[in-house]
Amino acid sequence: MANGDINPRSELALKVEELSGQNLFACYQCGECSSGCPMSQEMDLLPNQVIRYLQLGFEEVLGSKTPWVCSSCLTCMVRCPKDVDVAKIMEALRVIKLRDGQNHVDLKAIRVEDDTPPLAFISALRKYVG
Amino acid sequence: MKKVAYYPGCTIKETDIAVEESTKAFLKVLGYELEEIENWTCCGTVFGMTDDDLYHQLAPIRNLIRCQKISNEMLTLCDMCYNTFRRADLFMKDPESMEKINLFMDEEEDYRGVEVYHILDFLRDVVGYKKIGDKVVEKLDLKAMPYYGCMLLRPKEVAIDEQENPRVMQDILSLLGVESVDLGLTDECCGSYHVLEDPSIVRRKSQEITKNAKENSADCLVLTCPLCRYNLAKFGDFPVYYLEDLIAHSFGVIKLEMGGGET
Repeated sequence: MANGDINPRSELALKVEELSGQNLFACYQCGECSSGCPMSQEMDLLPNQVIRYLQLGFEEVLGSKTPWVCSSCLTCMVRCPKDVDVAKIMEALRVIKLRDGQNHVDLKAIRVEDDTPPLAFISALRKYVG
Repeated sequence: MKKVAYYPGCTIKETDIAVEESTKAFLKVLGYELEEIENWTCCGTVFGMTDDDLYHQLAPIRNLIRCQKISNEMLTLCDMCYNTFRRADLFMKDPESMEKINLFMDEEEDYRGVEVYHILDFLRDVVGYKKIGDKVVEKLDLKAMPYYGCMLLRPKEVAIDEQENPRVMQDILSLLGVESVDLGLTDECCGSYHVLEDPSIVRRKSQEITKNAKENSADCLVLTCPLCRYNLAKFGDFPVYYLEDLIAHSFGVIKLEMGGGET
């Protein structure tokens, strides 16, 4: 590989960038996304750590529960000083697995009661099942 | 009566029809009549956020096309429908997306653009506060924390109000005699659709939000989103009201049971 051709991005990082339209390397790890995230308590990796894993090409990030816990509330996206849309990065990670046929939940296991709002079911279906 | 093109959405029609009845009743007093869009279907509920995801834009755009047959303005009560439609419309502002989607949906007429209103900005910008205030016959003795949630305020391009300092709900509530307390966790996610997969998340989030409202001396939460309402009423152990029900009650067109946790 000639000098200048070196791309620090792993294949996974390139894929996430293509799907999300975001520059992963714009993130300078300030942690603002994680400090404001209402779901961070439920996560195994904080949102900024997910980005760091992607910057470093660590594929374990695909096994993290964080993208599935993210509910796309967009608090991170509003607060990011570098205008990185972290929620789109989470969506890209979900989509990579869903398009590979790896559903996050078995729909049959989801219990819908009479008073369950249909939009809860449809949103879950859209986010968890490919 | 002025007619308003109306997209109800699945949840308003299925589990939350009462809020539609309240809304129709108070809009009638204000001189507006809802005209339901013909053959509407699900909006998709969540906006597809990957750049190559054209497929998930079809549902909202198809519904907007159905709307444009009767009007270039559309009203919805549901925060999630509002958010999905506004973002789908924004997506179509890109000429390349517009061309692709219009070509793909060759059985439909081309999309030209529909202005999407949520009931809150409709009341503020189309009806006007003065007209609402004039129709109040019973002031409500309540202290409320308006709960905006996520979908009305984010992303910025579709926010119905200032993101960090929204006031449309407080302004409407004050016309009804309702005092608004500090907003606190007003735009903190309630846990959304996690209620079906891991309700413990929604339980914790809902209780954080209602605890915050209690600490701010509120008697209740007031909101407009059907999914937030379900989550907060189910797990929050605190009274939750639809803003529309409070308006209809103070106009004297419905009788709302006050005081319990039930809405």
